[in-house]
Amino acid sequence: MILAVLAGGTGATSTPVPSPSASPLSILTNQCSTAQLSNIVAAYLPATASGIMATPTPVPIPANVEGYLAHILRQRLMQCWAQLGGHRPLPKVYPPKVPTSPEEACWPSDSENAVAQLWAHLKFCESLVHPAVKAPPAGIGWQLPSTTGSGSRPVIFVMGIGDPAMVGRLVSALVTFLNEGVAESGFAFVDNAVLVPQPSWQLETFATQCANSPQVRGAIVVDVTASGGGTTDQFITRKNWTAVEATAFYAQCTHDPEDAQGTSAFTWASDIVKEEHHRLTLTPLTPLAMLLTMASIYEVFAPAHTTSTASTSVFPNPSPVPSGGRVTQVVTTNQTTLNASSLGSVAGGFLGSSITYTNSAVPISQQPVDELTWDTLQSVAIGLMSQMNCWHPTLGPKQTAIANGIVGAPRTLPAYNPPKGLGAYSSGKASAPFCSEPTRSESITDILPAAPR
Amino acid sequence: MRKKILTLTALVALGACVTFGGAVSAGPSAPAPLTPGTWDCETTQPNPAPNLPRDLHETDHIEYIGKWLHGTARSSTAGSPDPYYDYYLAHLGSRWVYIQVSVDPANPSLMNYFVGTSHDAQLRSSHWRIVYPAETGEYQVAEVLGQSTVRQFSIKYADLTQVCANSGSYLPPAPAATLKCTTTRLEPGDAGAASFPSYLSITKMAADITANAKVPTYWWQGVATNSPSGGRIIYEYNIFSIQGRFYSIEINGDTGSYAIAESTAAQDLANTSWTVVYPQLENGFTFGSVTYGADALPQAFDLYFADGYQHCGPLRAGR
Repeated sequence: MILAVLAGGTGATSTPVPSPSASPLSILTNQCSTAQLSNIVAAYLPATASGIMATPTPVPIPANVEGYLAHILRQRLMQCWAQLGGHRPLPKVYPPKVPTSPEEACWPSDSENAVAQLWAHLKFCESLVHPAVKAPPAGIGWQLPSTTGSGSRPVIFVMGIGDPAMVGRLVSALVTFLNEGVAESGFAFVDNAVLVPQPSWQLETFATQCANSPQVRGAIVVDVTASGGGTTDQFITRKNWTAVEATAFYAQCTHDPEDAQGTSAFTWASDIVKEEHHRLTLTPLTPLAMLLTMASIYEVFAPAHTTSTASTSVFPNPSPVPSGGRVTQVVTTNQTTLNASSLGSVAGGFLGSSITYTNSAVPISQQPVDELTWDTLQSVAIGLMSQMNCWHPTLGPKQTAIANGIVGAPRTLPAYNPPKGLGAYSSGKASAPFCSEPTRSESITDILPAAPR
Repeated sequence: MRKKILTLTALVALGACVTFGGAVSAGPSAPAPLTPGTWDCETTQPNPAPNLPRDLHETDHIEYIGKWLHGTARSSTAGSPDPYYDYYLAHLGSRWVYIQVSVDPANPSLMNYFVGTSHDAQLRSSHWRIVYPAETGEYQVAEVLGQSTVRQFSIKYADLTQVCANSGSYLPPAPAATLKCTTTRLEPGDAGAASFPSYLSITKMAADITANAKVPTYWWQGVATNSPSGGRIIYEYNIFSIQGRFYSIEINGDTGSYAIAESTAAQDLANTSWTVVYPQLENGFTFGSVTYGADALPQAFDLYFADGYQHCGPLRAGR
């Protein structure tokens, strides 16, 4: 029944479907996924329709955006259809009115063009193609090769709460940067634990893992508390922006005694990390917009013109002369005034028209929204690492540890800020509990005789 | 693959040591001591990788540095640089510790090191794990063949076999110290400080091999003695670079202590901070100013620890 409703296209609108070449944006169409689109949909659809944390007041979808989104969603639905076993060439009448298989249910009907409907359809089909990863049952433990000579290597999970698309990228970026910190800066985790990203796990899953596997040391939980994005037109530029606020917790898993069932508790929390990234792209002025703009400027500053024309008619002398005297000539004057002030409204109209044309133009090299979100989330990950303040050796002069993300410029890994008492000018705090922080220092007796005299 | 063979060959050497090595242990179950001297070893790999010989020949020189045994493995085939590694072995507490540093002659840019431990009291047929670094994996001596004597033995691994024979004594040349060091230990509280002299000889290892490296490769070995003309070795260390990072492996013959430290620098020791990463994570030491001689070896340097410092300078400077 659900398949039939989804495929039937109820509630379709007459939004035109653009041709595949209508937009130059680099949002992928060859995948059966809601990836890249979450933040876009969140900006336009209410949370009830988008299913994700949306902006408080969704803005109406501009016609061209709606058409483009509909096109992308339809293309992705077709990918779902193909990945579920749909074969080409298509029958002329396809799909049948009542789908009889999952792939048929994912084929977008001709009348299905509303973004909200297509979005719901795509989420459903995505779940068919990529079923949610289920946590391993409690019976499966962890026995990663040890690095200390006995037992198995401990694990620390990195999990997330919030919009799955956002959380997945944030968890991935955080693990990537933390591991780069291990390689580049000398970060170390308790008991040399390995970080295991599990963005789709629930806290209950972790609690089960903690209870049943002695190798589990804890879980770093990132929480995307708020996110949003949008576009602002600024006459000749367009501003794409994405904002994310996130925080992190550490749930420590304790096995006491070592073979006892583990218990977990939150032992560390970060401050909220806020990041906003935007890109400004030039919007090309169309010739008509430029002409109207120039005309409006001219009309505002053009001086008033007054034109006077004097015509003189000369008459011959009458004979005999009339009793009232004679008329020898008549002067006629014509005057025309062009008043600029009266054209102010015209100039304003021209300007308004030009802005309208400008805003409907496609910006030059517009930053893909998804790339902007990646960049922002990576900055959030760096911010969270700064909050974690993992201990690492002091780097030498002119040395910086660099982390390379998927997109954006290389980022400098945050330096260790020691708590008061360890450094002469320190003002920081101790490392997060999952970071190893040595409490002792090597003694010079290592390079002295055993019994110096 | 060549790197792996070197590693396995080193483990064979490890087996040679652990089969007889006992002089470094004071425990009641200590086996007979390994004879210091020269050992000729032939390693046979039935199914070698392409472009690799089926047999490898090496000569090991073994000496004792206090509680530690120090071995040097070099090629015994003229013109062949394979293999080239040093190893250290000691019985500390309740376990054996084996540390190896090697350079791959085929690719001098590839330095390698690892730490192996065994908790077996008897070293014959003992089981060993590579415990550091983590990536190296886990190995064990699979089988010891033949009648072991102090003069000859053979060891079989899963994919290779090594036969070693003692070919005579070996008297290591006394290290010629070029630096004099003054080590100052700060006493707790206001008890003052105590200074101790030592004499340091620094050698550039594998110089003929690493000179051909496409990227700069460093391996220096420092030997500190209590006399400028040799004397008793107090401690020995190796400083080398792997993939853009300095490593230091230091052993103390007197105390038996050892430490593996890392620094994120790889070009210049000056002003570098080091962290001890094994056997436990510790804040390490810091180099101060460092000057180099014409041979690119350190000629003078300052070293700072949490509870003391050391200054080393040219021996003739008389400091």
